[in-house]
Amino acid sequence: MKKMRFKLGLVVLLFALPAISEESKYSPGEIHNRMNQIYYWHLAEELNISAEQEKTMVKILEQMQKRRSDLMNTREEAVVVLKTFSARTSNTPSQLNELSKALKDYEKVTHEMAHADKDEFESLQKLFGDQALAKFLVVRDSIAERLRNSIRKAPASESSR
Amino acid sequence: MKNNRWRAIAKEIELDPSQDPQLLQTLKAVTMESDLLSHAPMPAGYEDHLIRALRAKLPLVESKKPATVGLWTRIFATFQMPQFRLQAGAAMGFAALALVISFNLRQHGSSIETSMTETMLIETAKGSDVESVDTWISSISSSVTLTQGRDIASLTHEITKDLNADDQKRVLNSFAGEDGDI
Repeated sequence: MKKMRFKLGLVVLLFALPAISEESKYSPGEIHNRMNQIYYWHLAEELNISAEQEKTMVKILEQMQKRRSDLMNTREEAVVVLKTFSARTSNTPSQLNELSKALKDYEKVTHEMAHADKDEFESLQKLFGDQALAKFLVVRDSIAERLRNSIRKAPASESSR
Repeated sequence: MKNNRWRAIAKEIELDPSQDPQLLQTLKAVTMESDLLSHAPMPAGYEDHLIRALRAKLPLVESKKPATVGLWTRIFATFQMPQFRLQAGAAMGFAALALVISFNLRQHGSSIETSMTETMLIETAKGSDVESVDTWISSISSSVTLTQGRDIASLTHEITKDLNADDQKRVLNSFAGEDGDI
C-alpha cells in the first residue's frame, strides 16, 4: 500500500512539476526590458536611422518611459485616494483636505504627462526631422494597437501565463 | 547596449558593415533571430537549417569569408544566454516561430525584418499578463490612439501644411510604404 502511494505521489509530481515551473518564468521587469529592446529595434528598422540617431533615440525614449512610469505610479496612488472618498457619503474637514491634495496630485500628473509627451515630441523632432518623426508616431501607435489586439485575442491561459 | 550587438559582432568578425549594406541588414537579422533562439534550447539540426537559410541571403559573405559555418557558429555562441530558459512547449513555440521567420527571410529578403521585430514583440507580450502589457504601452506613450480616425488626418495636415503638392505626396507615400499599409 505504501509503495502504491509512493508511486502515485511520483506520478502526481511528474505532472505537477511542469505546471509549477511554468509559472513566473520572467518577472514583469524582465518582460518590460525585453519589450523595450525589441521595440527599439523595431523603430530603428522602420525609421531607417543611423547608428548615432538610434543611440540618441534609445536614450530619449528610456528617459521618457521612466518619467511616464513614475507619473503613472503617482496617478495610481491618487486614484486610490479618490476611490476611497467617492465611496463615502460624507467626509470630515480633514478628509476633505486629503481629497483636495489627491485631486491636486492627479491634476499635476495630468499636466506633467502632457509635458512629457511634448518634451519627447520636441527631442525626437530635433533628432529625426519632421518626416521621420511623423513615421515614428505612426509606427508607435500602430505597434501599441497591434499589441492590444493580440493580447485581447490571446486565450486566457496564454495571456495570464 | 543590446540593440547594438550586431555592430559589436561586425567588429569582432572583422567585417565592415558600412562597406556592405546587405551584410549590415543580415547582421541585424541574425542578431534578432539569434536573440530569439537564445530564449529556447536549440532543437537538434536547427542551427544547420538556419545557417542554410541565412547563407541563401548572404552571397556576399559567402564570397568574402569561405569559413561561413565557423562564422555563424561564433555568432550563435555570442548570443547564448543560459539565464533565459523556457519550458519545452514555449521553447518549441519560439523555435517554430524562428523557423518561419528564417524561411521568410530567405524568401523576402530584408523587408521581412520589420514584421520579425513586430512578431517578436507580440510573442513577448503574449508571454506576459494583460496588465503588464498595458503598463508597457502606457509607458511608450500616453496618447497612443493618435493614429485613429480624425487625429491622423490632423497630424498629417499639421506636418505637410507648409509643403508644396509634390513634397506632400512624397511624405504621404513615405508613411504608407510600398504596399500602402503602415
